Amino acid sequence: MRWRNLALGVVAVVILMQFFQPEKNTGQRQGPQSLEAVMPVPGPVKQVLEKACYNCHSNHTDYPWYTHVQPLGWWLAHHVEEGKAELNFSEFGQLSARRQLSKMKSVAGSVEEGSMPLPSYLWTHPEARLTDAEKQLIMEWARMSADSLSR
Amino acid sequence: MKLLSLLSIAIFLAACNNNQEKQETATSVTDSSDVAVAAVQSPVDPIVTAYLDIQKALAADDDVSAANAAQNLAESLKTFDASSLQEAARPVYQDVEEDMKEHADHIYDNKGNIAHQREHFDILSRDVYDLVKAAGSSQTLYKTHCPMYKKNKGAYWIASSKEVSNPYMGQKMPDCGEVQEELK
Repeated sequence: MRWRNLALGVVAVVILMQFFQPEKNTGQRQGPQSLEAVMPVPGPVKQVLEKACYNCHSNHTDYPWYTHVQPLGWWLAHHVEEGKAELNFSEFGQLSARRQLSKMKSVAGSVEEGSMPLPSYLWTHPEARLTDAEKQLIMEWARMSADSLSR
Repeated sequence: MKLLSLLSIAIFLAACNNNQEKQETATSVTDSSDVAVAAVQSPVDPIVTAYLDIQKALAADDDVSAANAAQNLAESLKTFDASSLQEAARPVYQDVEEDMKEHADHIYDNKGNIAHQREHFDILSRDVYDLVKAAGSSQTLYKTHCPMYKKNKGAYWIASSKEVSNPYMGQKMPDCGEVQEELK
């Protein structure tokens, strides 16, 4: 008896949850203050950033179908919020030269360490997995960008 | 002030050919604090002290102490009053403040990952260097360079002593490093 009521309770909560949808991140990836506007981003680098980084680190996220299912949608929104707070390529130009340099070094470090892209992101986005060559590419580009900023 | 300058010039002329000193005393109009060196207190001393604690912890391979010291650094930045700085130093402080906060937070968040703490310490050291150059320090500091860190890319840190205690290599290679510059 108790278990049935508990189950019904959980179902009710889940249904209620569906009525509370998080805000969507559907702005423009590029703009006058975005990464491409303030520093050179070669084509191959841009491709990697698009497929592996921009969903969490830009003003535009391509959402999967299950984003409408709560609490998954909230979990995704939380990731996007945290990602953008840490690094937002769409507004990169708003940072001081010093901050930009720091961010570029962090990009290189995270990719080298394997902490980015987030392992949990890769479970559902296998196309975002970086090959060794792609990792090298990003690390070199990020380091070169950092070097030119420190001049 | 002028008489003192004339006297010092006379003494220097007699003792040694110290042109640099002569120029400084003669042209220094704004403040005398850059003549009276190490004894002057600097408002950024608490920030520097917290940074030095991180450095010592990393040199001892102690990620937990590094995290605690980083928390202190974040605190001193939060409570810092930029108006206590000389006007020339304020824009530098404003430039480094947010960056230093970020790296302090990251070092704190990475207890258990000393390699990652060291990466942030690397960038933090540049901020501290720039800050001390602009705002001064009550103690003499030493910019010390480690050529081996990051696959020989190299990195530096600010130390309170000439004795090398490498925060990037830790106990693996504690005396790897070379003092490149003295900061007063």
